[in-house]
Amino acid sequence: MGEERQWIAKILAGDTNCFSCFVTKYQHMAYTIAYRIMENREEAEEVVQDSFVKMYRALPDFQFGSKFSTWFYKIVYHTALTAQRRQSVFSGYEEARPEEITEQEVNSASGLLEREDRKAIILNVLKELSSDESLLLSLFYLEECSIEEIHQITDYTVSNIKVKLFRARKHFYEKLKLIMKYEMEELL
Amino acid sequence: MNQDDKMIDQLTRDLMRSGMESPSPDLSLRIMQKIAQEVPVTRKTYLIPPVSFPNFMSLFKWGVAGYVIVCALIIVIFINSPVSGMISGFWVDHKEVVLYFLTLIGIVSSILFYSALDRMLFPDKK
Repeated sequence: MGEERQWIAKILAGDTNCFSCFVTKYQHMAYTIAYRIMENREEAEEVVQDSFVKMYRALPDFQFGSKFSTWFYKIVYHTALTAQRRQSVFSGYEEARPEEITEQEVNSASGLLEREDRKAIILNVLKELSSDESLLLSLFYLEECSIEEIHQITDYTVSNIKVKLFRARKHFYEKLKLIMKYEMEELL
Repeated sequence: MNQDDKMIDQLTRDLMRSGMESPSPDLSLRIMQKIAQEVPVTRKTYLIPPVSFPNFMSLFKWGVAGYVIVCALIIVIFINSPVSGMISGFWVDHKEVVLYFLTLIGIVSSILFYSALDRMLFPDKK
C-alpha cells in the first residue's frame, strides 16, 4: 500500500504520467473482472477504461480506509454491472453463450498437455459458469482476495459468498471433468 | 482447512491462472489517452476561517462555566462546614463526590470544546 500512497501523492501534485503505474499494476485483474461479467472482449476493455477514469477522478477522496485494490475492483465491478444492464436493455433476450459445450468446441483442442489448449479448455469451462461464479473464482483464486474483501467489492453477504464459492468450485470441476472425459475419449 | 482442501485450492488457483484472459496490448495506451483528456486532479483543501478572540473564547464558555459552578459549590460547602477540622473533614467527607463532578465536567467540556472546534474549522463537512 506504500507505493500507492506515493503514486497518489505524485498525481495530486500534478504528475499525471504517474497514473500509468496504476494502469500497469491493475489493468489485468480489472480486465478479468470486467470480462467475467461482460463476456465480451471489446466491452470489457471499454469497462476497464471507464473504471480507470472513475478511479482517477475519485483519487482525491480515497483515504485508505480499505485496500486500494479492493476499492478499485469495486469500481470496476459496479461499472461492469451498469454496462451489462445497459446492454441487456438494448440486446433483448439473446443468450450470450451456449448452454452446453459442443463436441466441436471440445474437439478443437488437441492434447491436454499443451499450454494453449489447456488455456482454451479452462476458458471453455469458465464460459459455462455463471458470471457470478467465474467472477468469484477469479477474485478468490487469481487476486487472492479474502472473503471480506470480496464482500466489500460485490456487496454480497459473507455467507452468500462462501456458498457461491463452494458451488462455483464444484461446477468448475464438474465442467472440467466433462471436457476431460471427451478429451480422453478422443485420445483413446 | 485440511490437506485435501489446500490441494484443491492450489490446483484451482493454477488452473484459473492458466485460463487468464489478457487485454489488448494497446489498452494501457488508450487508458492514458483518456486520462490525459481529464481535468488534472488536485488534493482537496479546506478553507479555515480566521479565528477572532471572541470566537475562540466561545469554545471555552461551557467548560469555564462548569468549572466556575463546581468551584462555587465547593466554596459554599466549605463555608457551611463546621469550623473545627473543617478542611480535612470536608475533604474526607466529599472527596469522591468532588472528584466525580470534576471528572464529569472535564469530559463534558472536552466534548463540547472539540465539537465546537470541528464546526468552526470544517463548516461544510457533513
